[in-house]
Amino acid sequence: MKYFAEIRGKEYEIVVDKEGASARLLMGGKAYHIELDDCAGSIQSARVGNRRVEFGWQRKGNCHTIIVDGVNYPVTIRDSLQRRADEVSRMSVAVKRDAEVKAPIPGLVAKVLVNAGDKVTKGAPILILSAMKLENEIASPIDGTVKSVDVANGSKVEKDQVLAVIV
Amino acid sequence: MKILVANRGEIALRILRACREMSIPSVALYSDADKASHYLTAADESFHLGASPPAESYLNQKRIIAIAKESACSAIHPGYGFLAENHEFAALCEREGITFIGPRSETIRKIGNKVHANELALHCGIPTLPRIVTSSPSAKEIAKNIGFPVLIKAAAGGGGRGMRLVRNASELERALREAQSEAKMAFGDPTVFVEKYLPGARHVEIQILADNRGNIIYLGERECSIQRRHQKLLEESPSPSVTEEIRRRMGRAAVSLAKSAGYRNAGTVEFLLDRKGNFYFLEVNTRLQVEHPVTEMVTGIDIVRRQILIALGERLDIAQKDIRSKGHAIECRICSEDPFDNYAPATGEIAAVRLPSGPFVRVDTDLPRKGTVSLFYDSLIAKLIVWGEDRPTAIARMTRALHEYKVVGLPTTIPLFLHLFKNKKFIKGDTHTRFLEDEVSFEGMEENRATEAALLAALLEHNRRRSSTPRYRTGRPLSSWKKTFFNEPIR
Repeated sequence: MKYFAEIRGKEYEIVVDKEGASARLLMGGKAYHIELDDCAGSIQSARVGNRRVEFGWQRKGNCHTIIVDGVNYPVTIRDSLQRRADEVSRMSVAVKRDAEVKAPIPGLVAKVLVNAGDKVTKGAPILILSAMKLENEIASPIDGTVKSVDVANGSKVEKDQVLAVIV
Repeated sequence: MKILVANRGEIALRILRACREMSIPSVALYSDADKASHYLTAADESFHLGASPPAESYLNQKRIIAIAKESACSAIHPGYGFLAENHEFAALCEREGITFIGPRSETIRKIGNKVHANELALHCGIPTLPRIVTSSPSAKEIAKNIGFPVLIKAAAGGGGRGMRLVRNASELERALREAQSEAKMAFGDPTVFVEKYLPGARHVEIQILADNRGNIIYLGERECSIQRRHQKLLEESPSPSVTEEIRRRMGRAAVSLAKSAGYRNAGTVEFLLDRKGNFYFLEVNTRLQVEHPVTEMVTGIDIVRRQILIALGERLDIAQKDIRSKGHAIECRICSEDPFDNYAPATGEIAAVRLPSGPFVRVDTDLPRKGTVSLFYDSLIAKLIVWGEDRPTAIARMTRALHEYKVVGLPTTIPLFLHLFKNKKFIKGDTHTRFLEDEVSFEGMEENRATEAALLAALLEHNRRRSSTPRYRTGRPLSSWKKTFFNEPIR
């Protein structure tokens, strides 16, 4: 079975050939023998060639986050059909012209500094985001007018949540 | 004696463990977010403080005192952060007849203020850095009297908060704004001052212990130069750049400062050590510090235990000449921050943890298994401390322990340390306070185990798909036509 693994923009083509518990994977012209242990939970172990490895694992849909040496590798696995389907949908996404100001980290909006309709310059502070006892000034990425402010003083925000839109 | 621990997380656990070991009954406190936190299991009793935001819980002085009285506690240990250096809280304890495990409120008020502490240091003949003390200094004033680069610091502050590095006049305005705002939020006082910044200098601090009878000793030094945004990430003892002679001079300076302030209990005197072996006084931290374990590992002295004994009125029974440092200790702060994404902090669920252990490995953590990292508190998940007979052994041991440590669910600073330990300058001990920010890059680090991750993920996904599709005994999936034929009665 052929799969496409994508990690942070880089793609790997992998063929999985499984016989019982043990599997033979082909990637980049090399063969790997992997045997996964039957573990419940987020810490898994496996035999990869001659080594036994322990790694962290979390899954969301077809995205498996593998944690090795403390590094999180979010790996999206798709088969040929899914990959083709995703390519098609990517080509039909409209280009956004508004600049969305997103939260770089999760936190609490300590103070909103602008209103809809205000003119701002690139780098002008839009709001103060407080997170884990540190204050961060969030600045406008472009010159323009504030189209909308989507949060209020005291709002709790997630990472990448839209805080404001500048046009 | 009965001790109430007015803190949370790993430091609360540390103090509660000391109480257990000394057979002293203990009380812990929890906010909504900490209802199921691990540290509560180390206390004899625990009480609900209030809602999660610190102002309503761990900073709620009235409520904390009320609980202390309700549970008949005779002493309060404030830990670090929160109310630890709040002189008003210390004074409140004193008025209520509750022993505050730390210095007297007057001492905290005086030397907790960086401006006053600086004056005291000068009075003791300890070198200090040139500075300007006005809330909004002009760039011209600075350039004339001190010269850029400078550091803006909160007068009432500590822990690296409310600090901003200003390299030139154009950065001054925004940096002042941010620092004042952060200072107001963290310490309730937006007053800042401006101090000369010494590039290439190292952060070296001296641990002191003083009883209530004027006996004061120093327990060696800690080097804390590996920092990011003025927050320490790695600390070690002894410092690779401190000679016996420098140690003696720094230690004596710290003790003389403490003596003239009438200091009691544990504290830390911070210095900046330049590349010529000159040191300059920075500030005094009138509390137990996060990195106290490295001193404990090399001196064999239990600092928290000593704090409690001092608070009980015991005389310090160790003489300066008895303090010996053996071997080398390193502490890595494991935080829920992503070093690959400019240390963006992450909050949320930790699905699983596997702690390292083995010879001379210590883990101080409130998350030994799964749990939650709340956005109301800081990002410290654990302190990993190791001891080795010398520095290279300690580094090798820490590397081994970091490989064993597994945290699933949030990014951590683990890969940062693994990468740092391969840095030639770090291995030589040649660091300074901007080392991490200026000289350590993460280029190419990620690809390390990416291929392995891809393979494992592919196999896991493959297994998942196969197990969710009904099959023939030969392993081929059943066609939908046949599934329908077998499952639905033909009419």
